[in-house]
Amino acid sequence: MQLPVYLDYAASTPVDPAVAALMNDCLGRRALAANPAALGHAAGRAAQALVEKARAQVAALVNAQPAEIIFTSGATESDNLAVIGTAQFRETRGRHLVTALTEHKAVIESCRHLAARGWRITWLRPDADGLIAPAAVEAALEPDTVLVSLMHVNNETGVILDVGAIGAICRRHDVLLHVDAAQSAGREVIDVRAQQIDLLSLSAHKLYGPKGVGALFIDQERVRRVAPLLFGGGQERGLRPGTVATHQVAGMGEAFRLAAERLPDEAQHVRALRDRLWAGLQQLPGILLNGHVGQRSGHILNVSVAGVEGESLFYSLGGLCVASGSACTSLSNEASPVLRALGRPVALAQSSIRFSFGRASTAAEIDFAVGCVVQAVAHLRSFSPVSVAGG
Amino acid sequence: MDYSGEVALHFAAPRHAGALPPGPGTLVRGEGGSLEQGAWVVFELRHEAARVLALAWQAWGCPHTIAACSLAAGKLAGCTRAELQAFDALSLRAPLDVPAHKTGRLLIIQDALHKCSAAWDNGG
Repeated sequence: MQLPVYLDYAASTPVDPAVAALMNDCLGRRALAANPAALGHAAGRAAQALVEKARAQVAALVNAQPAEIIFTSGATESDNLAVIGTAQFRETRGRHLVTALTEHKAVIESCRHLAARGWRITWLRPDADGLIAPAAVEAALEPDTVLVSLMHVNNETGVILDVGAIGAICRRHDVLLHVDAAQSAGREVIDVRAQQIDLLSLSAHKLYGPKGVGALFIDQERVRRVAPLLFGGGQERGLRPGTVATHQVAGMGEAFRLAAERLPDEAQHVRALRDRLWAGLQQLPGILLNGHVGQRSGHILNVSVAGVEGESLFYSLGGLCVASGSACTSLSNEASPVLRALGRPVALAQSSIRFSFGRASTAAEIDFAVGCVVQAVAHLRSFSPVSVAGG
Repeated sequence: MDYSGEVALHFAAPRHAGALPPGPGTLVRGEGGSLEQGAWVVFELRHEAARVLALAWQAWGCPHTIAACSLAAGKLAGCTRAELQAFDALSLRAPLDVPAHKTGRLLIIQDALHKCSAAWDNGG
């Protein structure tokens, strides 16, 4: 077992060796060094062929058409383009958007950017399990709503939203639905047609691909266009100008191809690890699961530990690479806004740990993690003035 | 956040941490901070003949807070009433390399110790 144990796959995943080999090949072969937009010569056409192959591989994972995939620098840019680009392009139809307090900052800050410029935003609050009922989305729609933007799998709690039901509601009201699928692509089944998703943000590095590349699915019939945020050449249908990074895009395509191939087995693998971890941690009094017990993705487990302070807990877990629900390692000392939105008190939101698992995670690593947490909590509680029932 | 070696040592093996066991002398107690403030510190000490016989602390806080409680307790074990009154928790900042934005945590410890001192003055 390699220390520290990496259990932060929701933050980023290691590049799959097959992906790295393909990218290396792209970078090393002179024949592929051309600009994929330089279609006047063979090298340019070879690079373009790689880009188009990747586009088809990304599209296939979510049942989209290749022409509906726009390559970006990552899910953050995809979210920005989806939210701001859609709002600006449809400004004459309405200036109201619906999103949730538990969204990724890429969506939240995009909405705040629009709010500062006169758009109205309805911020949905999840229930105590982190879920947003489709009926709550429907109730938030107004005559001038142009976009609903919600995350498929929450990046902190792993809770899965019923985007299919929300998609059906949006269609009925002729409102576009954007889904941030950075955490769910390749881990949960996504079918943009069946789930009636109009825009979908994707990330490569969450799925064993390289950092610095992502994609946005834009439904050709329903959306057609969004306003670009960058200006320059006409690459990516004019929506995302700039020379396409052949090696990055090819790596993303290969990563998505592998994910499609391995999805059922990997989903089962991470679910088993998550359940093993949760079973092990439940021996601790005062441990609380954050998020719905059943409606959640297998690769994330988020818990809060009563009676211990978040920064000290996180510091005690030096043998583990996990995510903290506290931003206290920065200057702000802010507890996780996502867990606060679920109604968790500041102290519990701050003492949360997000474990996330992946392809290379093992049962031995999970058992080691349980031991680390139990030992750390026992140490901190031995001098904590906070009493914990059963502790 | 990076922590100094001194913080790491006190965090791993804090001195005088936990509840104060029963024993001779007069017990006084003082606490500072709260969960909402990000740190909650409780000091207990027993004194006799104007000297601390035993002391202990409990804390819910960051590693700097815990290390500062440990270092303070180590310095105050066996001290006189006058030394307790004169103790300045901000003096722990340099040895522990406490960053400026965490100075408030030291003041929370100071609050707890002041309350112990005040309780002692009031006959506790």
